[in-house]
Amino acid sequence: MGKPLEVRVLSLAQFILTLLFPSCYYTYMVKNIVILLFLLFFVPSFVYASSASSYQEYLGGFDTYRSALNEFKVARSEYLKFKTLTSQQTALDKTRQMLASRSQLLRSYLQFLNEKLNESTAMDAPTKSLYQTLIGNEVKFLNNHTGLMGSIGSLQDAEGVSQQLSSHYTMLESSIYQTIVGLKMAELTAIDTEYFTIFTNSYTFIQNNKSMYTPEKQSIMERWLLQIQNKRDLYKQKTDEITKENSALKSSSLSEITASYQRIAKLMSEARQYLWEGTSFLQELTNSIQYGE
Amino acid sequence: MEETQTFQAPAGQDQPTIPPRHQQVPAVSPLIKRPFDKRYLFILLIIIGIAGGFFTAGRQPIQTPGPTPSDTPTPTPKSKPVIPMATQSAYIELTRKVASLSGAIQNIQVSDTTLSPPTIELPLGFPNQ
Repeated sequence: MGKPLEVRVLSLAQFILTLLFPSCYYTYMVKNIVILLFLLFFVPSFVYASSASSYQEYLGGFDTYRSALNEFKVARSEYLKFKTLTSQQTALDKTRQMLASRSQLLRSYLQFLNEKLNESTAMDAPTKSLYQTLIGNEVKFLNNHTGLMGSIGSLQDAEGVSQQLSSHYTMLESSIYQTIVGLKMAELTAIDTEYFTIFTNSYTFIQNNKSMYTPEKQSIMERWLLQIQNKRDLYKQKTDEITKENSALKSSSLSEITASYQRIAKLMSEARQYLWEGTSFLQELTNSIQYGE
Repeated sequence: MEETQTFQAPAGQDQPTIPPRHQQVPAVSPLIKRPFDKRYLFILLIIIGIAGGFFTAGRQPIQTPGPTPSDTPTPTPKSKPVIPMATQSAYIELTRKVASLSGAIQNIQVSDTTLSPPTIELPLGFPNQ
């Protein structure tokens, strides 16, 4: 096995630098600069690639699962048709493969969600930790579930192991949707905070320069500020509705969880729209406040 | 004495002159009408094309008649007075923040399809034995 890429690059750089700068001091200095540049340019790209690479891994897992599922379906239908020992054994093998790839798919998806949480700059640390604990518990369950696959000796055993995931799946899906909503709400909240800051700054700017505006202009700007504030109030109403709806995500029914998530997605879209409209108003206001009349 | 008879044309008669055999082909052959060489046409077309190009390039652009000054000139829009604070850093920072916020809202994807959980089949579908 050769040396890692980083070590080889640094060794090569050191060799070239020794040739270019025979003096030890300069070689030492420039070597440090090369290391610094390496860290600046390469390390952030590795960090950035973490969520993208886990997404690629998840997609790869999906392909494997689809392939295993198709093979399992063929083997199952052959077994149900012929009921021979050979077809039974093939069905058992294919079931084991399908169950393993299914569990792996869910784990890689949870890993991807975890990376998304890590990368989220909008979410505060305690909330992030809460969701990561939620995901961690699900990964533990799936690890345990995968461990049971070694003990599958018959189709009945396979049914039992699969049933274990089926009965837990509602909770898993609930955790997944809660995390997605948490990620998106954190983004919206960060934007709302910035929106409010700009609104306050605009208000302060107008108040500080009130004497420079005509009375008509002042009344117009006050009306505009009120409309910008109204947009934020409408946004707040939507987030309150989302909070209420969020409790339905902890339901025991899979269909209810999916329907609730769809409603939340719609509410989040509406909330975003209000912020967007309010920001357009803010743009108009900031353009207008530079003129006295 | 044997009398040899020779055929002699009677005197006073014009005898037709038979041209010798080798004189039947006329010495100067008539002119053959050669077809028009198309290469000349091709060259002519190229010359016309080049000349046309030079002609077009040499032409002065058509001068569109400009608006004639009228007695009643169009009034220029009245420029609004900008308040002095609008050139200060506080205002510039405010406009920068608004632009940044607008970009952030545009980039946010509320319904991010990449985050959707995978659809899996849960029941195995084997009959109870």
